[in-house]
Amino acid sequence: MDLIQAVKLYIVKMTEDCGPGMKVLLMDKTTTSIVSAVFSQSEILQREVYLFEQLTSTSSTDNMYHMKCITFLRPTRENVSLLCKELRNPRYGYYYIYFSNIISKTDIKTIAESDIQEVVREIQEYYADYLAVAPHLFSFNISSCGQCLSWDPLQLTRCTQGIISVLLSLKKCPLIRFQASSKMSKQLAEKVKEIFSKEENLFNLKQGDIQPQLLILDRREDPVSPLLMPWSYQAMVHELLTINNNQVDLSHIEDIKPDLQKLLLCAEQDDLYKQNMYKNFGEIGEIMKSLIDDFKSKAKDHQKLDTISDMKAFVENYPQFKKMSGTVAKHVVIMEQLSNFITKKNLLEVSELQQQIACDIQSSQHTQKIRDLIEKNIPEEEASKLVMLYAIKSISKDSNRELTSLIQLLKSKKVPEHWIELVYDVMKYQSKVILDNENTLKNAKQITKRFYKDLKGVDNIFTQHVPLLKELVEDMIKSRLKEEQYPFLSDINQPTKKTQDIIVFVIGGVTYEESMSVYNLNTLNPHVRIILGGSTVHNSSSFLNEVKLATFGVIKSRTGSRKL
Amino acid sequence: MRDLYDCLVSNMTEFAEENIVLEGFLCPICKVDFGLDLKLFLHFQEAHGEDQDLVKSFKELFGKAKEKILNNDIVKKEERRYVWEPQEIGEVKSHIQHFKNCRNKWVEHFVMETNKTVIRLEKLLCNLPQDPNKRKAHEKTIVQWLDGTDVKRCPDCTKSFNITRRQHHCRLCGSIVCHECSCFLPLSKAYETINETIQNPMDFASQSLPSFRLCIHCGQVLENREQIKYRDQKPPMCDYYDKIMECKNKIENDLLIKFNQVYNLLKEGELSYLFEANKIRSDIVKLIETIDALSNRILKMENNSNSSKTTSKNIKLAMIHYVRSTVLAIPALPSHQEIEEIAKRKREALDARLRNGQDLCMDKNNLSVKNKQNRTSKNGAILKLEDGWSPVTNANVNSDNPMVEQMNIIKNYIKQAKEAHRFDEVASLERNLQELNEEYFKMQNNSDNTSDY
Repeated sequence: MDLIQAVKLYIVKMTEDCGPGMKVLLMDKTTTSIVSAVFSQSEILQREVYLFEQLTSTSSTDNMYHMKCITFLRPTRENVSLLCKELRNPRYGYYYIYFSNIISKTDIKTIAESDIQEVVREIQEYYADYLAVAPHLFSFNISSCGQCLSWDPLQLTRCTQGIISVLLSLKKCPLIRFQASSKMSKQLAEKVKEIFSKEENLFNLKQGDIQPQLLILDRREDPVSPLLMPWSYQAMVHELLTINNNQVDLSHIEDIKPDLQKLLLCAEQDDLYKQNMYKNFGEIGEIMKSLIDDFKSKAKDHQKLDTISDMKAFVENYPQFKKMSGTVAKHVVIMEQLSNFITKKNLLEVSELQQQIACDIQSSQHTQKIRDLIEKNIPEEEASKLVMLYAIKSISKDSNRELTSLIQLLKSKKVPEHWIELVYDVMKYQSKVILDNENTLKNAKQITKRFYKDLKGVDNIFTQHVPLLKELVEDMIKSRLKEEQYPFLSDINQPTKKTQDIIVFVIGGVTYEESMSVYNLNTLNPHVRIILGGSTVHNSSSFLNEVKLATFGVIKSRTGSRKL
Repeated sequence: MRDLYDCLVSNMTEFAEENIVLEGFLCPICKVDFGLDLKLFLHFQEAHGEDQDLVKSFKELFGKAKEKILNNDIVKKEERRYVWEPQEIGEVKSHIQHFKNCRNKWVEHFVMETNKTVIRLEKLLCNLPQDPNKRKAHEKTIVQWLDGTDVKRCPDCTKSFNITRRQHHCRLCGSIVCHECSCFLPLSKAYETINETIQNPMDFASQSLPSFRLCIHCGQVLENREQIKYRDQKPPMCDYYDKIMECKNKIENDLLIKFNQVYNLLKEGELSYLFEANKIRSDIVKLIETIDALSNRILKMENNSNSSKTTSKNIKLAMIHYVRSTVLAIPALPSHQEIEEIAKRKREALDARLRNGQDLCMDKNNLSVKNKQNRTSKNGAILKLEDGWSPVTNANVNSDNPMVEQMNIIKNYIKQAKEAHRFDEVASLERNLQELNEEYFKMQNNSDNTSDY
């Protein structure tokens, strides 16, 4: 169930299929990022792949018949026609074609009829049609799923294909469950089911005793989590610096060394990162400090090379030493940036209040505290996010009045109009319609939970909020997930026995904080395997962008989105 | 004991505040005076031991709970991470059969068309007149030209013909196209296509129309044919690359394996392999140097295109990586002294082991040997050399290793032979033992080696 392994195995197989010899990898934009998410350049060079080309940039006409061409493409119409063009005037010796998803027979025929020089040696489907961000996390890099709170048909297809490829690469044919309150998740579930029945041969897989489960959720159910400031390393980097295809772009920082402008954060190659990506900021700080001390002492040792054996030891350790110095330097720069942001944006105070709002602690004081912080001139985005959180969480009748006054305050602080628009957009986006009777039931549950929480005591005021996703998966592990709210997509009533393999997909994206909770659940429950996926991996700004696009065209009305 | 005493004292003070004052070694629970500290201690352990355990276990429980609540799972997170069993490659689906079926039909059609085109070209070139007008007539007799009166638009680009966009005929299929949709085939190339050298090169110097006008389609057909001809050509870079791969293969599949074997033998203290190890090592280094030089040569080669430049750069990069990882993987050889030391230690250990085995045999065979001794001492003086002599094999020389067993047997024989004053036999037996010893060493080493892989 390791996604990174799954993609890697496919690509290794591709390079082995065509035997020894110089190879070129011909890809499209998406597959390029799929490959680069799991393979480093040096790793792929060792597999005799020496040239990487994009199918679209076929302007160069130089022929390299001595090279074998591994073609790895998504099965889109555009790619098929570009490939036909390529095959009519082949630039490379032989072609080994792999599609990342199911391709139609007619497309195969079209390609075959372009191959007049008979250069194609292999044409297969290898289902690596997703970005493997972590062994338990996949993403399709879809920045926006649709408009008007419904699917963009193109993205619906992409998500369906992506989920299908995840399932095929892991050899799983799951029961499908979806969030009953979300139209979008039902549509996606049905689409996936449709392909199951259409491609019966493919999904005729050997299953264990316990059938895996696929749960499709909608981000609209929990818009709170992406708005909160995360404090685990990976999530923080994404929130404050943005991780894009495992890369962090620092080129905007003044007088930064050129080799530190684009940093690669890849758990597969960077052990330091792998060990610490889920640790919180305080822990990382300590680790970095001890590392630097250790490093300094080592560097000192290296400076005095008196004897020959010293030299020998130095030379033997040098590559390791150099590698380590590189990684340490990289993380020091990142940590520096993060702590700059924390002080600049007053994030400690902001985050504490965010957590209090999200967890309904001391709710009576929320408005006053928000006011105080806004008066302190925190950055506009943080101020607006606080108001958004308040708008999502507050349900009492006079909250409406409070909200209006808070928005007035934002306006008086000259917060740009689009931020204020976003406050309304977020309210439109959230799907939870809180009904009175449901409320009491839920409250009772909440109260018991709170009680236990108080008993336990709070270990960290910045990470009190538990994402809804974690609660759902926990319920699922115990087979206690409510069938009324998360029904199975099938006519036969499924007996909810034990659960073993769980695949969760969130329409509208996941966060690294949620990825961490899945990671922890995997660690704590060795008998289950949980995989999380999202249309993308969000930070708060990319999430708000999606909210803006998703609510585009929805009629402006506060009462429409909730009952007052 | 100390705690108990403290407890006692506190008890006493407590009681002192109450009406009765009890003194001495009192049990804090049942308040009985025991007079001696040891007695009290024993009593406490006997009578209240269980209670104590209960309290203790309670305390532990609380302690654990406390720990759990306070630390939550932050502490444990660090050590544990989930591990999933290795998986096999996911589903795959091959379309090559369907693809080939589709392609075969198409390729047949294409081959036919190519042949037709080439045959026509051959006919055109046969007895081609030099005069333009005559030539046109010749061309028309070979290929039927399409009547242009009804053709209003170019069939390829669908643009209408007019004064500026004139009609042109393809010389090979006779169809009508516009200028943009046609191409020219130079005569020299045409002759090349039909595998004929130009008969009178002088004739063509004065040629006014040295080429044929073709439609794009026929041009493509001929172009493809040309391409297929050149497909098998390889740039010089390939030779170098093949050589690099050859070196790499030799290192990986031959030298490194050998080196590891020899290296393990050295580790076992076999000094005689030091020379060989050095030789293999230098062979590897030489090959690595060759790889480096070859990849440099590839890098320095003239490349006119961007892609080949990137390719050679990447080859160089890959080789640097490879060289670095191979060189680092080769361990440094132990020095002369180190090996000798290992050998010495090894010998000592083995000797000790053999001695033990021998002692065991000796003890068990004491009786029979004694009997023999008696016999030999009785008639030792009158022993005749011509007499046949054979040692007695003892069944009690068992060992788990047949080699060791054999050696033990021989040692036994030697002893017997010595007692029988058969010194020539002793010598030959001792030689045997020596050989066995050596064999045993080798076997031991080999088994160590194999277990390493």
